[in-house]
Amino acid sequence: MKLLVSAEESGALKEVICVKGTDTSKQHAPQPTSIKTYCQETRYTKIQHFILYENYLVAARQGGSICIYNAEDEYAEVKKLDNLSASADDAFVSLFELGDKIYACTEAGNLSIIEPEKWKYRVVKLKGPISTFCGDVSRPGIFAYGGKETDLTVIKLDTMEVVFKGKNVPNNNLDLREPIWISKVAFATDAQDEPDVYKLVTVTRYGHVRYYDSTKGRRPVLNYKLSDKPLITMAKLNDSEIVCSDTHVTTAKFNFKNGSMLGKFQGAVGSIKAVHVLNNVLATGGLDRYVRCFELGSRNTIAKVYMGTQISDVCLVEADEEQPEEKLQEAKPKAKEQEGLEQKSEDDESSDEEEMWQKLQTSLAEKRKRRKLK
Amino acid sequence: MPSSTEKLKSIKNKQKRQQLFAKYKDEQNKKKHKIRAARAKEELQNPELKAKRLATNVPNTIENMRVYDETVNTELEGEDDFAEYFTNREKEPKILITTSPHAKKAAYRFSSTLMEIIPNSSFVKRKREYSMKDMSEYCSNRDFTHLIVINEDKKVVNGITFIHLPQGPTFYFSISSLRDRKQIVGHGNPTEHIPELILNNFTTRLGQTVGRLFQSLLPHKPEIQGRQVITLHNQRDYIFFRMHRYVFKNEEKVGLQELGPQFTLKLRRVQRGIKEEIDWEHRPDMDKEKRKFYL
Repeated sequence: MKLLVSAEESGALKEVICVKGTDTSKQHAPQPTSIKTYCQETRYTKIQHFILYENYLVAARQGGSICIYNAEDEYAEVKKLDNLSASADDAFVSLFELGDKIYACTEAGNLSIIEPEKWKYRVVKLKGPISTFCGDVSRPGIFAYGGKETDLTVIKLDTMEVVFKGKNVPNNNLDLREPIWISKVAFATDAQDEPDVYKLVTVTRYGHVRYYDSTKGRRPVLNYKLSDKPLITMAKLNDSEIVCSDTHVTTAKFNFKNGSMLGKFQGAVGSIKAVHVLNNVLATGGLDRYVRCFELGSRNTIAKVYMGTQISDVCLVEADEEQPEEKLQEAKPKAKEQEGLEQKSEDDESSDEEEMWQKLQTSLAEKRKRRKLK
Repeated sequence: MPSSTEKLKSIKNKQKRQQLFAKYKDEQNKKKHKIRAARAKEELQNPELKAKRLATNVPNTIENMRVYDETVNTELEGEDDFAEYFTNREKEPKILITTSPHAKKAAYRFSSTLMEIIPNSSFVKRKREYSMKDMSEYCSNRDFTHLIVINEDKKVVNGITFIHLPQGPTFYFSISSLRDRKQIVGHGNPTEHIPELILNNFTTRLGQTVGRLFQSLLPHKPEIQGRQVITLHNQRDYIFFRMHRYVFKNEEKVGLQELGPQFTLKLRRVQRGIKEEIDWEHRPDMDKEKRKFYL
């Protein structure tokens, strides 16, 4: 497995190569083959998001700059685009590649569209504040965004025409307005959909998972309260399933079409800041400084690596590798042997008094039985 | 002693058997003491023997059987939120102490002791209408570096929150075994000198963060003429707070006078920013594994 991780505290990018079964918390488990650090800067210019584009790595850094690194040449800097954000505090909320263009959006609504290879960009202003921005893979030119008190909006970017606007859910039982704060959005378009049908799934900072279908009105068709804590990440797995995590320790798989929780991914101690899915493997990273890989079906941890700094984004580059079974088999008996040794040592300690009492008791009991039989 | 135990077994009278067993135990004890006395005598003449025995005979303790943790004694990578304290030596910490809303006497008493201990700290009575977030904002506007909120429940101080300003993190500790200065026999009274700080056993990455928090609470240069020292000793994830005054009696001996108070902290939660995402949180199932420590 090969993972790329952005280190928050050092502003660096880390490349981890490990086998399945890696666990840095266990001395006798396989350890990562290599952890290399690249593109080190400071904490104040940390990488907020990054993606791999062909053989380039595009990283959006705090302070409004986007750096392009050559992934094949030890992540050497190719180009740096500055001043893409509205202010110094303006953070990048999303960065993705779609239809040979790279889109980066900031919280205030500065959307930069970058042309790869030439590395030229133009900036489009959206109405902020924005917490998430995403594009439809099947229909180029259609994008969706949402944020704090910015309800879900789907636009055609060329004409800036709003094609679908979400409507807030009805007031609650006290007739109070439900606040809006969309934290992540994804298109859930089916292949057989008409071109003007928009299906989307969102997660909110108020713990909701919502599914919108433009054929059935502007309000969410399905609305589930998943958690009391803000949901901050989401990765769409298929037509009906998502993986999302909250600001506490929960990362869960959820079916947004019938509202059932499909299971939690155990292990995290701190909040998960980034999730990434590739080939049935889920990679998570967050404030507990561990990057973990899970198998999506069984939800078992298949790798756990300590990174040394908090993590703002992860990317699983290669999920598959030949399983070095020999190593695993070797490792297991060792652990068993150790346990055996420990037990032995404990046995030695147990004082001879206890032994004696046991002897006393058993022999007395036997005698008593015998007496009864007679 | 197989022979004596065999004999014991055959005794049918329970009282008699117990009596004899007690006698047997007493003999064993006496024998043990004799052996020890003899060994002590021997080792007094030949200190090498003692060194050898101590080196080879290391008893198993929970601490030395600790579950492996890869973050123990690793160097800090990059910068954390406390980096400014360590790089900018000009800026001294400025601390605001307050309590939970509707605090009772115990909380006020504890905050006044904290004010005596922590230099450059001030107390403000808690107002109900301001949340922790509001208070942190007002404090950062006034150049405070830390906000301490003492939690009190049923007239017992039971928790303390440290918020590093302006950007966090937030720490919540529970407090137990609080003993006031007056409850400590032979206590002294602290002077206004800046105390020294001893941090013991903060080894893991999380432990280092906690250690750095305590470091950042005190001004950079202690006034050593005050001979006051604060000890924060971490053992099995419990942090023991003690404060002493020391005196060098001669080249070898040091006298200590306890200044108090005494209390024990246990880390419950670390949050990024001002009470935002969870960085680390204590869960009850963490106590299941007796040999796993987080600090």
